[in-house]
Amino acid sequence: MSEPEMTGNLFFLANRENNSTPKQSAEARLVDRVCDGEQQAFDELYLRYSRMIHGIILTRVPFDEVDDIVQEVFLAAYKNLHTLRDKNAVGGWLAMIARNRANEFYRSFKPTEELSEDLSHNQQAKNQAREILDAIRSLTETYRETLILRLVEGMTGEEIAERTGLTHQSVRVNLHRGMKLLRHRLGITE
Amino acid sequence: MVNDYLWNKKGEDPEIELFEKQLRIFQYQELTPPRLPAKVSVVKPYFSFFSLRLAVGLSVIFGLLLYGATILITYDSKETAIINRSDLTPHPPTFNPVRVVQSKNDNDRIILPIKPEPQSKPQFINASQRVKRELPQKVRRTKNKIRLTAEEKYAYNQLMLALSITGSKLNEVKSKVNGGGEIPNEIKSIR
Repeated sequence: MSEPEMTGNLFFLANRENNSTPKQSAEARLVDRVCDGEQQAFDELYLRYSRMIHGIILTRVPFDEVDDIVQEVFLAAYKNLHTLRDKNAVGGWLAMIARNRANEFYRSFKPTEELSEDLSHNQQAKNQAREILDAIRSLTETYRETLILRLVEGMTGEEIAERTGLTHQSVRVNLHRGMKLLRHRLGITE
Repeated sequence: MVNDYLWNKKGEDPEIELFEKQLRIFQYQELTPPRLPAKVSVVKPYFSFFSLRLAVGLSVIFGLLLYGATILITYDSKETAIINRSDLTPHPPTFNPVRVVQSKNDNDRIILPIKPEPQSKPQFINASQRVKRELPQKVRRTKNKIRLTAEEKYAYNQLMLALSITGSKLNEVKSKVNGGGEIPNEIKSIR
């Protein structure tokens, strides 16, 4: 390997470290502040990740139950935040708690039927929305989480990657393949 | 990087926009974050790890000392109990049975202690021998047989000793009378 190539590689590595360190440390600092019991830091964490948690839970649990479980997830996270080893991976850790909580919900779940709040108005639109949501829920976990975060929660691909800890490439692939499968499930021809 | 509506909401995609619009009813409505519980100040333990180890060590030593003291006390009390018991237990009087033997010279008598007969050692028999062994026949006890206690036996021996002494004295007197020997003063006074 020639000297310029080696220098270039070293420069690349150094640059990568410089780019990644401040970003990671900001999350770690936020977690540290929450661990210290700072309410403001907890609010910040909540606003940052609540949409993602909501989307992940919505893929598994009836819509009416989602808000309660979101609150439970954050309280459970606050209690166990000191056990988090890699404070930079708090997003993935919260997503894991949300998945576990959603799965726990069905252990004590009594089957009920979701009633529409407004039976007369916009019934058709709601039925269509429910139909689309059910179609997304029928996809595999990888696609349905990414699609719900994008279509329901309105997050961009970059935001999804940043919050969940996935790479941009994975999110992009999940979105495009997921959309293709969704169209197929809904019977939409391109 | 290709900019497309699905990735970063830049540009237009009517189909995805329609999905977004329809699914908006399920979107997360921002709620106020839950209030954290009041911060509990963690009180650090007063003692350090070293003092904890010291306390454990001291308690172990104290336990050992206590155990040793308990053993000593119980040992002493056992000894005391033995002494007391031995004091309280009534002992049968010890007898040294003797017999009087007349020496060749008439004047000398020797008192010899009666040695107890050595007890025969218990004989162990095999089970097979035990089976073959005949049962002992019933023996009628003689009614007149008198069993003496140790005290009675001792008194009996003493009496017999006295009688033998008296008998020997009488014989001596008789021989003197018959043989013409000198009569003792006591006999003379009796006469």
